[in-house]
Amino acid sequence: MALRVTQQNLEVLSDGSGGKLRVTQQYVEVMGVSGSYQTVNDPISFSDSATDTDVPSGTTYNESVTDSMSVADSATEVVNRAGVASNSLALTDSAGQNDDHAVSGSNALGISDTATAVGDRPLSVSDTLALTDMAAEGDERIVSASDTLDLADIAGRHLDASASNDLTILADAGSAVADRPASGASTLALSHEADYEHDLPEIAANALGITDAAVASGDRRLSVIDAISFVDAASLPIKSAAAFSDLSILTDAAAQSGLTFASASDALALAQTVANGVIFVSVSDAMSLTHSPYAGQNITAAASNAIVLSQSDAPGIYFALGADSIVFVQLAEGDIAGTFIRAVADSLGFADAGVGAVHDFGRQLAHSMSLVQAVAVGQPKYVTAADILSLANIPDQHQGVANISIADPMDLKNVASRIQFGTASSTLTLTQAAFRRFFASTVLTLTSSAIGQIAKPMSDTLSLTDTAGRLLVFVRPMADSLGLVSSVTAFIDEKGALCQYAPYIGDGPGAGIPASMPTLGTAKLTLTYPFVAPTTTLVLRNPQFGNVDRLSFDRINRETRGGTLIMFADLAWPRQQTLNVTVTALTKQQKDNLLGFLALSVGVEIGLLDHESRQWKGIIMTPDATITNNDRGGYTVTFEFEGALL
Amino acid sequence: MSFIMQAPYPALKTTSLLPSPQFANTQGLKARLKSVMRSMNNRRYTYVQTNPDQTLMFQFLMTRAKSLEVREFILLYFGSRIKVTTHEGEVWLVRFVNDPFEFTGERRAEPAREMYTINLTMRGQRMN
Repeated sequence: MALRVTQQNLEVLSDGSGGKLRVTQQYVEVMGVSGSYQTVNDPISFSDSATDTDVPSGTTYNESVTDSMSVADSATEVVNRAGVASNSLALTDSAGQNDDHAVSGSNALGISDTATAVGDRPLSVSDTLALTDMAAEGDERIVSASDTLDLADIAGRHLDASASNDLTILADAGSAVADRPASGASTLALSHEADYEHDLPEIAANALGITDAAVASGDRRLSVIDAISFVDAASLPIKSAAAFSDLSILTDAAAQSGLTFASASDALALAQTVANGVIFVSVSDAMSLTHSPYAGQNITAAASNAIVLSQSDAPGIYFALGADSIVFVQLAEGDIAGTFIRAVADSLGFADAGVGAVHDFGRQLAHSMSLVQAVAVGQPKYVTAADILSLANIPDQHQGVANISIADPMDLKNVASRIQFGTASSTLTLTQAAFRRFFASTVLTLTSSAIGQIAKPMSDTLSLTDTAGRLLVFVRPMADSLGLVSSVTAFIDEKGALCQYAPYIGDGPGAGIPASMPTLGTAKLTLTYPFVAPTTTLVLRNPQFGNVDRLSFDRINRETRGGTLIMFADLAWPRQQTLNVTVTALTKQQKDNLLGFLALSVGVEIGLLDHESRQWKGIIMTPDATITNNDRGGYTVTFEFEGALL
Repeated sequence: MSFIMQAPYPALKTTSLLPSPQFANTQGLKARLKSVMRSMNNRRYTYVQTNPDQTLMFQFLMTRAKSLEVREFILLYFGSRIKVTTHEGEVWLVRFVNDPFEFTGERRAEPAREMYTINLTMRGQRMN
């Protein structure tokens, strides 16, 4: 190829000393044949090999050979008017072994393709990386073929405009090359990430669309398995404006077609989390689920439904057994720092009712509610933390049904925890009512706990005050007998009773008077001395009328200020019975005998037999009685005798 | 009308019917005028002692048999409250205040043998 000089520049400078010139710089541009440009080729070829020579004895056999080759090839142009700069890099990497005892051969190919523009006015930069990975095609004796392609495609940028990253992958295994493939497996693993290295990203969007289908064609298929696992996570760096993770529009259905099927199961498992950073502007975590099993038979032996948040049972005509359980866990976490969040509120609104219609006797309706509510704050400073749990658990009853037992247990656990208190209150209000119980019991269990993440000394006090008022009673021996008496008396007011000894004695407490009159006889007044074994006897005339039978008693009389007479007399106290006797017409001999008897019996008990033949025992109270001779007929004496009737 | 004595009050058990008392029975208040003072302007100041009770005194003339009945009545109920229905129909709640009780033989009587008299002094309040 002939060359021609296209441009020649010559720079000549003067030394300023007298006209001498010298060439300081000479530039010659040589260009190629007119109509074609000269290209700069920079081929580079490397050959790198690593071999291992084994020493038969005394040396450990090396089981692995490592061959790494780093190639950096760059094609640049230093002139300002660069036309095209292209860079092609062809690599061939093979790993083979010539040794008959080779265990394994591995081939790792790492490719880094970067297109950069460093000029002042870059027009465009394109980076195309085309990879073709193909394993063992065209051989009819292939039993299995596996093809693994790992790609990492990253589009990064350092300026604000936009960054797009499109990764299109087609993984196809088990194509219809062979007539009878034993198995075809296609595994597609994707890692799609959109991130920003800039400190102030505006938007980071990550959209991932996946369609996974396993289709088997042919007349004889054994099984079709379609498994899809999906993890959707939206993470935020340290500072983010918003993180939104929406897990919705997920439909998982397992349907069987055909005339005969054994069972249909529908399992839907979801895990949704919202991970938060240090500073939240807003965090929302909403999960809406509707899960309902439906059994298409009219009569179900058993129907069970376990669901988070929403559950409904569609029973058949009759239930042999129905169970309804609901589990709910709601947790609100917040990191409070600076001025973003002042309060973390965790309110739990929950209503659980067990309603059942009991058609037969002997059935049982169980309604249990178990709640755990906790407010945890993990920062050292916060304004307030309130944990209010209000519950009202009232079992409904159906009137008109007898012989049913209603169990209404309520287990509550109310926990208010914090680290540093501004104010903290934990209010537990319980309302429990039971209606129409044949046997009612109420058990209230209280559990109080204080939990702190980073806590200063804290205390948890559960104070229950149960007061049983009691009057202090001093036991004093006392007796209080209520005496009740009953008495009855009756009488007949008749004249015959006025002259006879005829007392009307009724019935009542205490003694009564003798019902019969004592027997009265006729006798002369006789005095005997002594009373026992008398030796002296004095017989006198009967006393004159006017004799006195005197009764005297010891009684205590008192009169109150109001004039009420208070009288007390004990029946055991002595009673004096005195006879005042006057005897007249005594002869002189009788008078002398009386005086002799009186002198003999002074102060000594004597016997006296009165004119009614009643025997007395007593003493003569007036031994100094005066005997008077008041007329020619005789003497008269009056004396008193005190004694008792025998 | 008979003079009825029933004792012990209120559990009445024994009833004794007596003939009407003799004349000269008495009845009097227990209220007293303690003192009377007169001021310099002839105004009287009296000091009284009121008393709801009244004193009754009856003398009975009865046969020997009835006197023995009254004697037994007195021996048993001399310290008890007695319900008395007088010959006039007045009902009194009284106590015997005699000290002593004297039965005096008055005269011969047939067939009752003798007649005795007794004075009964009572103190109490009228019930009706």
